[in-house]
Amino acid sequence: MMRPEPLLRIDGLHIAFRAGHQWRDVVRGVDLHVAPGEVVGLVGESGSGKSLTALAILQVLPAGARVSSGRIVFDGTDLVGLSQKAMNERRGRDIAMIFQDPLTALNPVIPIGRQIYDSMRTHQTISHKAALARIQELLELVGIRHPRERMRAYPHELSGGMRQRVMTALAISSNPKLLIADEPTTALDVTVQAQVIGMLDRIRRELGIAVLFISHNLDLIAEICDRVSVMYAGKVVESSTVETVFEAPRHPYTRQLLRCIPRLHAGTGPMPTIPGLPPRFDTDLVGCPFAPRCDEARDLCRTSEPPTWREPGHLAVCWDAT
Amino acid sequence: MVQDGRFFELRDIRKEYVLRQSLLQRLTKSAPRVAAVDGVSLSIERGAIFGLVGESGCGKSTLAQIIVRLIEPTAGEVVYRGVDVARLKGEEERAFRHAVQMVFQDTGSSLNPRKRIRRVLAEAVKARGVTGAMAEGEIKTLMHQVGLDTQLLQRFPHELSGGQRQRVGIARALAMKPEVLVADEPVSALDVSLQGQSINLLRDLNRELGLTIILISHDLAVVARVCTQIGVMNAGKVVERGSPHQVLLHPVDPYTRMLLASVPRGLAGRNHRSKSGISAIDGGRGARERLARFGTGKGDQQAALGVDRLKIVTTKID
Repeated sequence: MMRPEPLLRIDGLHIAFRAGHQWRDVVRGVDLHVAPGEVVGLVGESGSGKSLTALAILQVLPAGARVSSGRIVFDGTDLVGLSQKAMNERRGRDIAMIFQDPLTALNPVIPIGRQIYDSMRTHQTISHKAALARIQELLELVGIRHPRERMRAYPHELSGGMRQRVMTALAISSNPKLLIADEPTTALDVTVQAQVIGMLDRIRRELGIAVLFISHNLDLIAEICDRVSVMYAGKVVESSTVETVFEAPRHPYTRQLLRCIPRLHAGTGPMPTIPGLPPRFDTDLVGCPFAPRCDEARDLCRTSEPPTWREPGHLAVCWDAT
Repeated sequence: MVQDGRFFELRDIRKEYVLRQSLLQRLTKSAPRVAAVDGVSLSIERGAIFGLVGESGCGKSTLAQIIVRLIEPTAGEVVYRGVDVARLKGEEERAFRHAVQMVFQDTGSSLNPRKRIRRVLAEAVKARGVTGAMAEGEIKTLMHQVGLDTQLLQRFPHELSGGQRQRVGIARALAMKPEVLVADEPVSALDVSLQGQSINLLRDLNRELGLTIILISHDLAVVARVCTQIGVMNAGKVVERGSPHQVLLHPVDPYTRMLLASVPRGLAGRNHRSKSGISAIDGGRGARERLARFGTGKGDQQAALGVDRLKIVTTKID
């Protein structure tokens, strides 16, 4: 093989929700791979299935949802259908996740140092003293000054950006191979967002952790990711390196998404927007799911499902991709 | 009506909150106070779209609530059409409250989950004394104005998307036939692809109805795009104001420059990051509160001082 085996490989992932008596697919065949140390972005609107895909990797789908088919191979093992016990050994140790809202992900009645301590003692063989030293190291690494004092702070005593740093310290405390970051900066101010992105970039460089970075903002993804997959209505519709997706996007959705990002110095006047709404998960899809909102749609797009266009390192699902 | 040329004016507005106080402090009335809004003076022209930008904790939402008189300022005057609104009583006060409307950020909690959209709007219209068939006609017009299908009137708020709920919030405000609309972070909860729809709606309402809009946001790029005037707030003060052109191209205040530098810039930002290694900017949010709680280390005090002591932290990246 020319390329090394990726750390994470998702093949034809389908996730279904129970709707009455039947199951309906909301994630409809996602392929994705992340190499060791690589940062891959997953972009899409609310409801596109990007968060569900992330939750499926950790096997923590919400009640009423299940993986209906496909494989999630992590480090050589298919995680789908793995026993609860075997999954517990990987979750939080090999694969860690940080969320949009750190306040609900951290325990409000336990000091932050203690939370990291408990997690480390659960997942690793480490002495009390070594753990305390490591916690200070970790807090410093994520950019928290005076870690000795801050260890005793409760989550509510910290600002949103600080909490996000604490959650990241907690996530990387077990030296995971993969960090999943689900909209980690959406709730933060732009200046704090810049700090958190800088921090993620730094831990990724220093620790060589692979990151799956989920966001609805392509500009943010470009700041930190190597490759990006664009999701729409439960499918990856375009995937390539960040440079290619920005400079030569093949899918109209990607192009329209890029146009929508509010930019400085874009002049004045109405803001570009994508008309309409993404399809609801309970509607039957005919043809290309993006066709009703697409500014380049033809009759063919509305009746037949588009083919997948491929080139080495670039993929797009569109009739006009070629 | 007497007008001294000014439509809407804020004169040296201050809003102070008392922090935790001891018994002694209570007795001697020397409790520590924090100024959420610290002497803001602004003049907003009729028909303008005025953008107020700043981060969480800078006092922009407090200022918005003072503008619509949800809270009273500790000092200073809100002057609308030449009259200090704190002096308004009875019918005049009611007229002011109709004329100045607010749209909230969190559409999930600002609409009653147990009322259908029709009822939400009917109640708003009724507050102006319009009922029956007249009301139904007005409700349909309102839905049309904000670009929503009248079929959605039967729905409950949770059955609508975030963007649709935002429009219902705008329609409810429009029901009062306002002259001024204060929109507090109207799009920050929406997807990038849908933000434009809501912002463009505000822009259209400004043009078609001559509505004066005060748009509060942390997103400089959005504000610069649609506003005619911008004010940048930090730590309770307006630190910069001017046209979008002036603020973007010739920012005077260091805080404005920092805000501008923090906006993600896609590929450009990526290249910039890998070249210069500038990745983190320290200071900012909730600084005063942090001083109160953690005011021990020197670094904390610097952060707590906010913009006066901004430090750009450069991390080395090889």
